[in-house]
Amino acid sequence: MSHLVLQQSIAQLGKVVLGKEPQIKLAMACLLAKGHLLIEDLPGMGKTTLAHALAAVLGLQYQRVQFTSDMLPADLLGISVFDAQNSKFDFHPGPIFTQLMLADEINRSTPKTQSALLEAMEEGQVSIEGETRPLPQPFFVLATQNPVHQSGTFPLPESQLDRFLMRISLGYPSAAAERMLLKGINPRSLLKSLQSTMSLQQLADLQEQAQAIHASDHVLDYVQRLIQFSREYEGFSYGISPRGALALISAAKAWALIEGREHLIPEDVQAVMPAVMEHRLRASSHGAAAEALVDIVLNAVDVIQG
Amino acid sequence: MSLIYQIPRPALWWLLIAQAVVILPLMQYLPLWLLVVWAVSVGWRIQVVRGVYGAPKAIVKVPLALSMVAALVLSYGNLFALEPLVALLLLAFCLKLLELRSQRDVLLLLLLGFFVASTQLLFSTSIVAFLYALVSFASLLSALMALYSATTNNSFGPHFKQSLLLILQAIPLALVLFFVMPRIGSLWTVPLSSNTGKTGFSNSMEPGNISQLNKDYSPAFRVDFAEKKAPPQRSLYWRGLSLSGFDGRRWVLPAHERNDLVRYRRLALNQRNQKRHDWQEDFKNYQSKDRSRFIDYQVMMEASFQPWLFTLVTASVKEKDVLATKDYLFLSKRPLSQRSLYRARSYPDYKRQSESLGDGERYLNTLLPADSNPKAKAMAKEWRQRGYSDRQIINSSLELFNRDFTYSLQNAALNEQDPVDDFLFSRKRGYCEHFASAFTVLMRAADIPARVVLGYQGGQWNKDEKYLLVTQADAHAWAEVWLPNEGWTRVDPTAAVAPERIELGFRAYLEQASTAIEQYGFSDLRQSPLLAKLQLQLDAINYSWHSWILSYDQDQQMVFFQKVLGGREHWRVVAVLMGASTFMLALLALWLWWRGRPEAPAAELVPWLELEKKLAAGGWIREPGETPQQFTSRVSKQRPDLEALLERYTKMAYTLLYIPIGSDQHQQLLKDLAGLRNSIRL
Repeated sequence: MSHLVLQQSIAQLGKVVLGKEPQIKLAMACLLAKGHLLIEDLPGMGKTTLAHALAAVLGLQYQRVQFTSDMLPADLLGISVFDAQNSKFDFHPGPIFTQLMLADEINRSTPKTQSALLEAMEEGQVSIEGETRPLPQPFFVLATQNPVHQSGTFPLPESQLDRFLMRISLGYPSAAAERMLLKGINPRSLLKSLQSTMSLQQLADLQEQAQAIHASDHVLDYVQRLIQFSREYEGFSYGISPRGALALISAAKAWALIEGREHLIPEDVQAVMPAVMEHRLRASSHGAAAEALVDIVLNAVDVIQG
Repeated sequence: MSLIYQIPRPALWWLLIAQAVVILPLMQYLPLWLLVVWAVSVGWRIQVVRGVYGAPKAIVKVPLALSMVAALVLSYGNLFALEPLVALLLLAFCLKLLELRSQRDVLLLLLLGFFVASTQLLFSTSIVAFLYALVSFASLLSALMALYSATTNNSFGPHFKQSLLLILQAIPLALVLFFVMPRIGSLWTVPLSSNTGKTGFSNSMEPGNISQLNKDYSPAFRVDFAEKKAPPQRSLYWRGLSLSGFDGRRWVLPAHERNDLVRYRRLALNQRNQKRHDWQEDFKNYQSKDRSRFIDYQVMMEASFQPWLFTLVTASVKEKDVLATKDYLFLSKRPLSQRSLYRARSYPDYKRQSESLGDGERYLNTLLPADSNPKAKAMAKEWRQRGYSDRQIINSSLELFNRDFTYSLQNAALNEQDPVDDFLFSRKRGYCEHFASAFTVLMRAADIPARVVLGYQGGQWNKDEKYLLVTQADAHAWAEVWLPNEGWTRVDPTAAVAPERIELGFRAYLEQASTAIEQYGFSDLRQSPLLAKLQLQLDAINYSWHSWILSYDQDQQMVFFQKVLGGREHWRVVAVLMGASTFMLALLALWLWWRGRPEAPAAELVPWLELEKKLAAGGWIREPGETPQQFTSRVSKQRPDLEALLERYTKMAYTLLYIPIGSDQHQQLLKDLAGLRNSIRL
């Protein structure tokens, strides 16, 4: 049943974001694992469309914030304004008070603003002027960033990167998808026709189910071997943190749910590994490998160790 | 200003505990004021640790140490004996507490502690002392561990447990070293200055000095008979020394035999000059006769600090530095200041000097002081005048004892001038030495050569360990008379008065004694049966300890080499030492390997591993990052014929790994896989 709903959602999303099924599935898995998603790509690759479509399909409130270098935390969180008539401060909530927030080009803002997002992402609440205010449930941040080498960017610090469950990139569309775009069929126009496929309650149930996926000792052993390798391999500056390990497990479980399985298998882990791990690893100076860092780990660690 | 070293607190506590444990047993042998020195040192050290006092300066320490040494010299008079030297060591052990300026000092103190703890064994080698030494070592090790341990928790349990474990681990190696390490004789010996005269009797006998021993149940010696069976109690007369000289009151050795070392040297000289006496020749002939009945036994004697060995009549002892005297008694070159072992063979039927008695000997053994004990002399002379034979005279006196006398421990002082007369004609009660003395006087007065023999009578047979325990309480005195054609013959006048004493042995006599004899002072000596039994069992343990561990000396080691190693060459010893150590290390290595051995694969992993093994045999090896399904599909490309089967099997084996164990699906998969297992053939 849940599998069906998920398939339906993915099919819906596929109509809008053409030819990007793996990324769509990863994005779904990220939301099912209650994680935040970072999409890194060049401008104009369909990041915003994906975020918009996700909100529409899941039936979530949606706010979009364009991050700029002169943006202040108050612009994001909200501000108290003095109401002369009633002689008191009124709180005007910022765009963060929503269920799905698209933080567009997050690395254009200053670290100050970036870290204002931190508490919100981690705790599901914000503290403004000494008062703690809860955010709506569920709360997702879907951030996009331009590749860091582009001008006018403040790279996200490791601590903040670690708070994103996944980092994906969309990449160029396939030739067929591009042809459709060129033909003038604008997927954006389809956004309005998208139906939400599930209620909030259903989403919460799905998240519950993802958590309940059975992870046997063998798959946990595999995950631990992966983590251990990342910590010991001298080609990396540092290994995966325990939070990273937890992220890997919950993302893999969500993936298993999308695949319609009730138990976790190494393929699930391998499927989410690049998205979950790549932004958490950094090559050390004497290990500049041509292949992706995650592939080094995946190829070296035995799936089954007798 | 330099940093002041502070000993870690747990290490300090352990150090003090260990010191207390080490010092405690030594206090029974050393002056008690050493305890005060220790207490003061401890107090000072604690105040230093608390930061109240400073560490003592050299101007305090040097006079302190010197005055302590002076005090030792004052209390012993001489520093070069065992006890003062141990006391000196102990003093250093205590005073070093004032001078813990670095970790090295603490280490030194602890190492000194091991040395001090070992000195305890110089005074006592009982099994209790040995076990106590182990406890001392364990506490010292605990202190050592506390010194090096990084944690500051104050619990004492873990360290002590760890030390016991260490000692336990050391035991196998210690055993190897004990049995195999070549023994070197002691380089020097320091005599114990006290303890002399604590046990046993001296080389003279006067009324009262044997009855004093009767309260002492400490072992005198233990006898291991070759037949594992004791001769009857009444024949167990352990002869120690014979006394021929008499001054009217005391029985002593004749003047020319009184100095043991001189006597020994004279005997040794005679032997070296091959000067064989008739009596020796005679005994030798008797020994070589086939019919001669003999008893073989081995005596483990406690330190007596006297040179005499105890044997049954008529014995031959062949030990180094032991010589036989003319009365078939045995003299060691040096006083037995430690436990010693000797083998003896006794010929109970042999008649000693039956042919004749030399004039000198006859004179010596019939000599009585002219002016003492006139009444006794008169009575014996009267018997002789009646025409009694020697036998009749002996019997008359024994009858007299039996009729009129009582065996009693109540020790009223006898008349100083004529003690024998006093005993024979007025007191008429006494202990073995009174009877032996009076009897011998009577015999001599009747012109029968007679002498007093000191030794032990009886003993307690230990049924479990099959040995005879002779305690100080078994000390006894009896007489020997010389009769023509029969030679020296034992006569025990006590047997005439209290035959049960001889039949049953002293302890049994006390136990069965009726109320009738209580008035004679024996009741005080009686032990509760339970206590007696306990004592006997304890003695059995001690005996095993002595005979198996302590008596293992150089000679026994040679026997051991010969028996177990097949020879006593050096290479054998070295090989065994190395082999045993290697063996023990190998055991340890094996154990470590066993602990870290790979575990058997889980049941759900087995089906896949089997397939993997089969494929590996066919030349397909899975890459580490490859999942089983990727792997088998790779294989299937090369072997399309196997594709369906491989895919099915892999899917099941793979799923088996990740679904909850014990679920229905799990069971089903196991079953299906078992069916498929044999159908995969490459």
